[in-house]
Amino acid sequence: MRFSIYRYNPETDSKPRMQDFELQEITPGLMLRDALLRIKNEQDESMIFRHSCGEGVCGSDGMNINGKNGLACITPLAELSEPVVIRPLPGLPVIRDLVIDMTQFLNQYRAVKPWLIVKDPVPEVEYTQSPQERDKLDGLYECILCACCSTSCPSFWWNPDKFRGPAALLQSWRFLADSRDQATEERLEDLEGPYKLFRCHSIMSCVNACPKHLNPTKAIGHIKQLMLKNML
Amino acid sequence: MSYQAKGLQAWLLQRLTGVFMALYILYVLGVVVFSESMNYQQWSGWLSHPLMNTATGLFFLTLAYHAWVGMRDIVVDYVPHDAFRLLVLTLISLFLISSSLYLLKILFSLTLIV
Repeated sequence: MRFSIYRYNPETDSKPRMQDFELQEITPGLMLRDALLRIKNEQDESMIFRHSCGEGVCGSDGMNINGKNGLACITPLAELSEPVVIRPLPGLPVIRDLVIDMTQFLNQYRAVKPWLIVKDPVPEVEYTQSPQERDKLDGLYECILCACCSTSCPSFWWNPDKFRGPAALLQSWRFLADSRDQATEERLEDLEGPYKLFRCHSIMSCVNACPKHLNPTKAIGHIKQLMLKNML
Repeated sequence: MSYQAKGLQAWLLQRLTGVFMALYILYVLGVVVFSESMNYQQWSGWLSHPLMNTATGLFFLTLAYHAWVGMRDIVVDYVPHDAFRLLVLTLISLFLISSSLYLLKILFSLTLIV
């Protein structure tokens, strides 16, 4: 099986290049991450990429696979056409090879205050929630922050410092939708203006890219609706 | 919630103007398609009717606003450097304002003829 992998070391290379690799004996059920590990161990130890859990839970090995963002560890080799072209997630600075600098992405995540804000005195028991209220968080809390969505979003490419991006906005809605959170007004007010929320033009690249099958576009729609409701 | 509202207001108005324009275009298309041959007198008589004249004026004003929000979105995404961005936005707004004024002048002159 043939692979074409993006190689770049900003300290020594003047520009990025694509390096070809070939793997024999691809066993059925092998994932892309396994292939990358074999390439690294058997052919070129200098090729680096992030990975950890190997089962789509940690969100470390997000990369651009044949033009589409996804997690290498849950992408079966059998589904990929050859040569498999692998690049780092687009739009963010490359540290080396497939490893990107996630600072801007994580700054946007931090900016939506992804934690419960409660103004009432802290209860002596747990914060309670009905099963129906809890159901509203399904499809939101599962995000693993792999950055596949935000780095597939043109609006995020052009304004990664100003636009929150689909991942952060999904989390923003996760806390707006939470019955225990009491900072709805502040959260909405913070998202006002032409950049933070309204750079989204609903092209749904994020939905297409999400390896956990979440729907940030829908969450963004919910935020806009809630803003509208609060205005009227 | 405070409303300098550069985001929500623009987004909402773009949708509302879109709805108005869609209805107007459907109506005009309907009239043009279903009317028997229309001569100049009927045409200008139709457009100078106060209701039609007002609706048409409103159509071009909403078109200008709709286009402004859309073009601003495109410029903000794709035109780099603040100074260049400002220049492009200024040119677009001048074009939209001047063509809108010109159209309103034509529509107003129609009401004087008949």
